Amino acid sequence: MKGKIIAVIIAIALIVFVAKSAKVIDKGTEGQYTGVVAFDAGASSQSDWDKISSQITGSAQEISALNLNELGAGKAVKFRGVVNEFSSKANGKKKSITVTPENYSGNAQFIVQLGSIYTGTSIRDVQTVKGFGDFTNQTEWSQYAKALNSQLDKEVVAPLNIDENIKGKNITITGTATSSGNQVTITPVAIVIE
Amino acid sequence: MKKFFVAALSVLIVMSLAFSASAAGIMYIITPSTSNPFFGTEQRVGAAKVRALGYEPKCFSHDDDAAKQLELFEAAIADKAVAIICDNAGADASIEAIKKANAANIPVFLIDREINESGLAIVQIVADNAQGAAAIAEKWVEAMDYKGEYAELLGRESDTNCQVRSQNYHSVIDEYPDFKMVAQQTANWDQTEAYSKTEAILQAHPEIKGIISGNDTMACGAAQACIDAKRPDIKIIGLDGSDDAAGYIAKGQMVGTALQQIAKITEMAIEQADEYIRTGKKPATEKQLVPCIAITKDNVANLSQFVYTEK
Repeated sequence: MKGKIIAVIIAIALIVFVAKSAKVIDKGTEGQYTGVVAFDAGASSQSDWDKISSQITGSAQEISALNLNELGAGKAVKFRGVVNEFSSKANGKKKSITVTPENYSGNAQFIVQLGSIYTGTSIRDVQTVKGFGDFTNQTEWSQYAKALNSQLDKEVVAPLNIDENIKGKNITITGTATSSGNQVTITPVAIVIE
Repeated sequence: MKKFFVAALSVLIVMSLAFSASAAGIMYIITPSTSNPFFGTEQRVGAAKVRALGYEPKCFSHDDDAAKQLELFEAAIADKAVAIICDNAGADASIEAIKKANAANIPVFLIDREINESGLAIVQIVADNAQGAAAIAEKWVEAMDYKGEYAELLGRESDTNCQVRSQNYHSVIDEYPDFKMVAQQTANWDQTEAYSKTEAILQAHPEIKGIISGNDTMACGAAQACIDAKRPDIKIIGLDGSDDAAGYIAKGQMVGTALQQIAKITEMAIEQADEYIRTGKKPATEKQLVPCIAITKDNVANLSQFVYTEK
C-alpha cells in the first residue's frame, strides 16, 4: 500500500515536472528551434530575380547568329523584330506572340510566351545563380523553376498589359530560348515595345 | 623436350600478361530484376560501356531484395572489383552494403535511385522525375485544351517517385482552373491493376477526357482499357519512356511519356567510375540530375530501348 502511494506521488510529480518544463512551440515557428525551415520557392526566387535577370541580359546573344538546333536546355538570346500574331488560350492564362526576328532568314517559328502561365524551365536552366545542389530535392528544384516564371510574369510581362493591339509593332526581346522541331519558344526577361 | 616446355611457358606468360593488360579490373553492375526492360537496359548498355573502357563487366540482379544485394556486394568485395555500379534496393536498406564496399576500398556509383545519405557513394546520378512529370503534363494540358475532367493512377504510394511525379503533374495541371480530377486511385505501378481500375473509372465517370498515370506500365494498362471500352478520346500520359508506351503513342492511343534517359545515366556513371579509378578524382557533385525528354507522336520515332537518338 505504502509503495503504491509513493508510486502515485512520483507519477504526479513527473507529470507536473514535464508539464512545467516542456515548452509549447507555436505552429509555424518550429524552424526557429530545429533549424529546419520550410522551403519557400517564392521567397527564394524573389530575392534572386535581379541577379538572374541581369545575368541573362548580360550573356544574351543575337538569336539570328545561333544554331537553333543546339539550344539544348536553353540559351540566353535577344532580338528585335515585328509581331505577327497574338494568341490567347485557356481563358487568357496562356498568351503568346509570334515574332519574326530581324536578320533571320530560316523557316523557324518564334513564339514568345506572355503568361500568366509559362511552360518549361529554361530560365532556371540558363541561370547559374543557383544550382540543383542548393536545393534539398528534385521537387524543390522544380518549384524554383515555376517560382522564377511567376516572378518574371510579375516583374516583366504582366505590367505591360499586352493584348492584340501589339500586332504589327516592333519589339525587342531578351530572354531564354529552347527549340522543338522548327518551333523556338522564348521566355522573356525583358520586353521593349516601340 | 625441355625447349618445348620453355617455349610453352613463355607463351603462357605472354598470354597472361596480355590478358591482365586488356582487363583493367572487374566492374560489378547490380540492378533490379531485368524482367523490366528498363533495368535490362542498365545491364546491357552498362556491360558494353564497361567493356569498351577495358574492364570486365559482371552483371547481377538483386530483385529489390536488400539481403540479396548485400550478398552481391560481398561477392564484389571477394572478387576485388574495381567499382560497383548499382541501381539500389532501397534508400535506407542499401546503406549497409555501400559502407561495406567502402570499407574494402571499392567505390560505389549509384544510378537511377537515390539513397538517404550523402558522402557514401561517389555519385548518385538520377533522372529528373520532377522536371519530366512537369514537361509531359505541359503537353497533356495542351492536348486537353486546358480543361476537362480527368482521373489519376498513382504508383505505390510509399515510393518517393510516386509522390514526386504526382506532385509535379499537379504543379502544372492545377494552375488551370478548368480542370477537375474526379478520381485518384493507386494501381501500384501494375499494368493489370491499371487496366481494371481504368475500366471501373470509365463506368463510374464516363465524362472524363483524360488519365494521368505515374508510370508507363500503368499508362499502357489504361490505354488498353480505353481501347477495349471504345474510348479513343481519352488523353493518357505516363512516365518512363518504354517501348510499349512508344507503341501506343505512335498510334495516337497515348499523348506521351517522359523518357528517363537510363542508358545515358548508366554510361555517365561508368565514365565517371573510369575517371575515378585512373586519376582518383571525384566528380564535382555527388548528386547529378539528368533531364527527362518529353515524348509525343512528334518525336516518338527517335525512341528505342530507352535510348533517344535524334534523327
